Amino acid sequence: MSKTILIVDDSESIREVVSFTLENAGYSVLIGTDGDDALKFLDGRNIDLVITDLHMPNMNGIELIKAIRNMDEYKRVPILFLTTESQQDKKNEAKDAGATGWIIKPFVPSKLLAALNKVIR
Amino acid sequence: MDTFQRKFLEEATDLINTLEQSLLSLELDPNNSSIIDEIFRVMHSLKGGGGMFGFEKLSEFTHHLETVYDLVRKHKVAVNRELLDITLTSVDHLRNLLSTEVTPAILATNDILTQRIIKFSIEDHHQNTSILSHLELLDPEQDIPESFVTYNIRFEPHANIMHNGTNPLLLLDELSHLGLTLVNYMEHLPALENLEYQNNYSSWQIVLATNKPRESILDVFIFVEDDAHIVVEEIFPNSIFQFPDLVNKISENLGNNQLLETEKIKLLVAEYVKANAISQSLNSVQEVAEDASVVKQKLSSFSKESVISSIRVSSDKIDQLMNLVSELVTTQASLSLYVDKHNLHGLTQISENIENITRMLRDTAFTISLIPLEHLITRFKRLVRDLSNEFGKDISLITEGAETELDKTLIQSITEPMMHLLRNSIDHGIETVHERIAKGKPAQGKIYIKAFYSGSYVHIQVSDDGRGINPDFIKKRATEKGLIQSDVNLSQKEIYDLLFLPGFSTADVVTDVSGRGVGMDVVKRKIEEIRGSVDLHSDIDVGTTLTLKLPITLSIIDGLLVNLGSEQYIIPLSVVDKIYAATNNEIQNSFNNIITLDGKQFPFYNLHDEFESDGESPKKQEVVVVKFDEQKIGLAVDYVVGEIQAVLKPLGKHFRKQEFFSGATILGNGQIALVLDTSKVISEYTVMQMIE
Repeated sequence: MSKTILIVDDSESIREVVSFTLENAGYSVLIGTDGDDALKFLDGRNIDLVITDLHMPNMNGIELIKAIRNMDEYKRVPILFLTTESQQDKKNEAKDAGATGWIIKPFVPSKLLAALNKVIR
Repeated sequence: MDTFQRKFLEEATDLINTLEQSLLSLELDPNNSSIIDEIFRVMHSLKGGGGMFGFEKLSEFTHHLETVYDLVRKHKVAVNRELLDITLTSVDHLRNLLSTEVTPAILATNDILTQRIIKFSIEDHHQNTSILSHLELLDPEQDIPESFVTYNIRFEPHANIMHNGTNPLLLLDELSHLGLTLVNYMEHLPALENLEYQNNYSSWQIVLATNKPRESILDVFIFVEDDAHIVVEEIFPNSIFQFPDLVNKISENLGNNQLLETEKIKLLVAEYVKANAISQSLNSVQEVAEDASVVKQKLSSFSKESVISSIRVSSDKIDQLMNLVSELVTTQASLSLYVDKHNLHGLTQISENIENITRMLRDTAFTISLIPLEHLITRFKRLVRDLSNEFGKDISLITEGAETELDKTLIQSITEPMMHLLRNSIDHGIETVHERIAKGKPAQGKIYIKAFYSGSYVHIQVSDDGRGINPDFIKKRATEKGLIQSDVNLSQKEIYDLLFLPGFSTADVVTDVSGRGVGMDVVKRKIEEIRGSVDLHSDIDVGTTLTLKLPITLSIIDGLLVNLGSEQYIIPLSVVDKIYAATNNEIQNSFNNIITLDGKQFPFYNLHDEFESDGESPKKQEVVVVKFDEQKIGLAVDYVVGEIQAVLKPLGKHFRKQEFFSGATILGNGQIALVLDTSKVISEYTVMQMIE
């Protein structure tokens, strides 16, 4: 049964690159454009992994991660966030908020899938 | 594995037996030149056959042996005990190389033996050659083994590691892919009243032998650096797994919920090394040369491991295993159903465990019957080589993704179609050298075979950089043959589809190769028989690409179970695009079988009516939108039950004529569900539209 992954990013190109890679790898993909938008998907659905950007309008990634961790059914669902090499402090902030791991931008498909492999199977 | 390869395997096994016998006779009669000739001949046959049927390692290895025995034949190398020993060890190694899966252990043996054999031909030939120059003579990529290092890894996650969605078991799994491992599991549970069920109380110790750099070990734990105590320490500058006794010794000391300290392991290793006089730097050629007895010892332990690392099993047994696994999947489903229905709490845990084990068993069984495409490539290379000679064309075959694996029955089914596509490319696609030069193309034509995974499918592309297919020409030919009216307007894709119609052969000259009555229609049919599809893309003077899209496996599909009256059907999940809710009213009163869903219009079938199912459709129905090529079509069903893993069984011969179903499956409750072949449903619909 294919796993469902929620991708949250305000950049359309990133969303497309990530969803293309994941769909080709056999995952089902849901797409949210920002934190608020993503929360709609989390209601009553079975999501196996969330991948989110940190900088987004309305609700940013850190807030989204905190919000997800506050939901009972998503306490243990892995969350990966997208970040750049230079944002070391953000990395700690996101981990403290409850993120499982991260993917460094820019990335190639194999890097993305390798990161995924660490958190879902 | 194809028939040629199987033949070669049988033949090679005989040859190796002969070789062994001859070597033993030679030991008794070292100067008998007819025995030496026999040995040389056998080696030569093995080398030739190995190269042709995809046993490159075997071929390469025998080549080195052959070189030495050529020198023996010319009296430049003397037959002595040492030579016979190494050759007989090589005989055992040759048997290992014939097994379908060449393991890292076999490869390591291969490298060491190769060095020893090369040493014979060099040293005995030029007495004064120093060891150092051997090093220069060795091909650095092939002959020096990647050096293995054994590490002791401590992975002690903090209590809260699982709070942020980390699953430590996945990391252990990832680690085990780096090499060979021994795992020691420890847990430190607090008193029951202090136990926090979300917390982690486990830690692990892993002894890992890997040829990957240390960074790749640390990389496994990159997400949990701050959530766990991780220590990676080197314990041995080589793999300990080549010494089974040592591994046993270490295993004995693991367990009991106790960490085995790195120093302790090092001590065990040191004791073993001392007792067995093993040099630690086994990778160094120099040491190997200096201490032949050590190498021999090492080789014997190596081959011991090689023997058990891979066995050959007849494909009948694998088929039987697959059948049993299929049955098990069905039976397990009915168990789960029963437990759910009767709310049997005591059984729930057991049933879930069986479900997990069944899934793992199924996955493992599947990988057993997967074969890399590589097995076919040699045959293709041969075909391209022979045919391009025949046509006086200069063509090279380039393959990519040959390691892509497919079910063995699928490999058999695609061999003929693939050969046909290659023949087409060579015969019609690639131009003659003159034409190519006139067009300003490189004289050598190229054919690419590219294979890759895409979801649960494998794509195999056969492309050439030839003249391409002129759509006008196809249209003209189809008109002449009365397949289409001359005035119809067809899209490029529709024109190319004409190529797949029965009896469509465009070759200007019917050649020896192509005009065999096997047209593209047969290719398409064969591929569709295995639930695949064929797609053609062509640009004039740039080339033609044919893409075969094939399911990885035939016997199990992920499907969507839907209800129609009292019957259930399965729609393969791979074609499902979206599911919409629609009222019975909308479906019944649609105009021209078009329904508007979420602002988009879709043609649709009301399956309840089409299949003349019993009962009435409910007020609220669901429409499953399936996709095929570029088209989407809705299938209105009573309701969607859910996802199911269906074990596909072929329909009996009475149903062979029908085209809408690709098979049937037995559900957990014993009911039969037919599996829809949506591509057929869609093309049927398209035909209907065209008639209207």
